[in-house]
Amino acid sequence: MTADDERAIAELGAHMDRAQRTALLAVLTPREIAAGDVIAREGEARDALEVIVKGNVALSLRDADGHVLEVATLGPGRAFGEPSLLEGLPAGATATAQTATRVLGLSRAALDDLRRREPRVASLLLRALIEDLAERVRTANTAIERDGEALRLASPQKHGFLARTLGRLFGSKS
Amino acid sequence: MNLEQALAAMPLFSEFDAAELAALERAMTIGNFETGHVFIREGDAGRAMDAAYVLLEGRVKVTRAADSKGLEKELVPGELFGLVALVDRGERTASCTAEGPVVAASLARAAFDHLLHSNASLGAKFQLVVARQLARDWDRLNRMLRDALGKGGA
Repeated sequence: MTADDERAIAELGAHMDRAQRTALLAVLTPREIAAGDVIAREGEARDALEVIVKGNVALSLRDADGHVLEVATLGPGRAFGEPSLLEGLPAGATATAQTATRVLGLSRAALDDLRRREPRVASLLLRALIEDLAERVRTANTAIERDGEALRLASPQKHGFLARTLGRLFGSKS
Repeated sequence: MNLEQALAAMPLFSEFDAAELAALERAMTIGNFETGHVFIREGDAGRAMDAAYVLLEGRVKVTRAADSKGLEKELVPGELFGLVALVDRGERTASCTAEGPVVAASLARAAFDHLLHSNASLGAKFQLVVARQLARDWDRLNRMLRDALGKGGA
C-alpha cells in the first residue's frame, strides 16, 4: 500500500482512525489500468466499488438514440460503483480510464469479510457510504425540484439539464 | 398485521435474527393510513418529530411541487422512505402521500440516529439496510433521468 492509497480513501475512511483505515486498505484490491481502457461497462453485472487513487476516470452513458453522453469525470479520492457493491445493481455507467489510472476495488465478498472480521471498520465505512449516497440523491433531487421545468423545454436545454443532473448523481462537483 | 413477521419477510431485513427483529419492532410504531395521508411534506425542515418509514402494505407516491412530469415515483411494500433528510438533517426534498389505504411503520429520528451510530450487531445490520435502500433510490433516480433522456429525441 502506498501513501497515495491512504490519501485516496480519505472520504471512505472519513470516520476512521489510522488503524481502521489500514484495516480497510487491507481488504481493497489495487489495479493498474492503461489510458483508454474500460474499467466497468454500463449494464454489466458487477458487485464492486472502485476508488480512484491516480488518474481520471470518465463516466458515460448511452442514450436511447445510441449517443454517448459523458456525465462525469472523477479524479483521485472519488469512487464509483456503490450501488453495485451494496445492492448488486449493474454498472450505472461505462467507466473509462482517461489517463494511466490506479484504482482500489472493494468487492461484496471483501465487504462481507470486513463485516465479519472488523465490524467496527465496516460500520464506519457504511456510514461514509450512506452519507455520500444521501448527498448525491439530495443534490439530484434538488436539481429536479429547482430546474424540473427544463423537461418541458426543447431538446438541447432538456438534454443539458438531464446530463448535469445525472452528473450530480454520479458525484460530479462541477 | 404483525410487524416483526412483516419485517422478517422483507429481503432488506433478511440478515436480522429474531431478537434483532423484536428490538426493531419495539423501536417502531405501526399504523394504518387513509388515502391522501401525507407522510412527508416537501420543504419541511428536519424536526425532532421526524421519522423514516417502512412501507408494509399499499402504495405511496413520491412527488415534487415543481413541474417534473415523468420524474414521480411510486414506492412498493418492503421499501424504506424518508431516509435522506434523517441522514443529512436537511429539509424534505419530496412529498410522500398514500395512494389508497396504507400500512406503514415509522422509526422516529432519535431511534434512527441511535441505530445509525450504534456499534452493536443490530446497528451494523441497520446501516447496511439504509445503505442498500439509498442504493435503490440512487438507481431509481438514475433510471428515471435516463428514461427522460430517451424521450423526444436529441
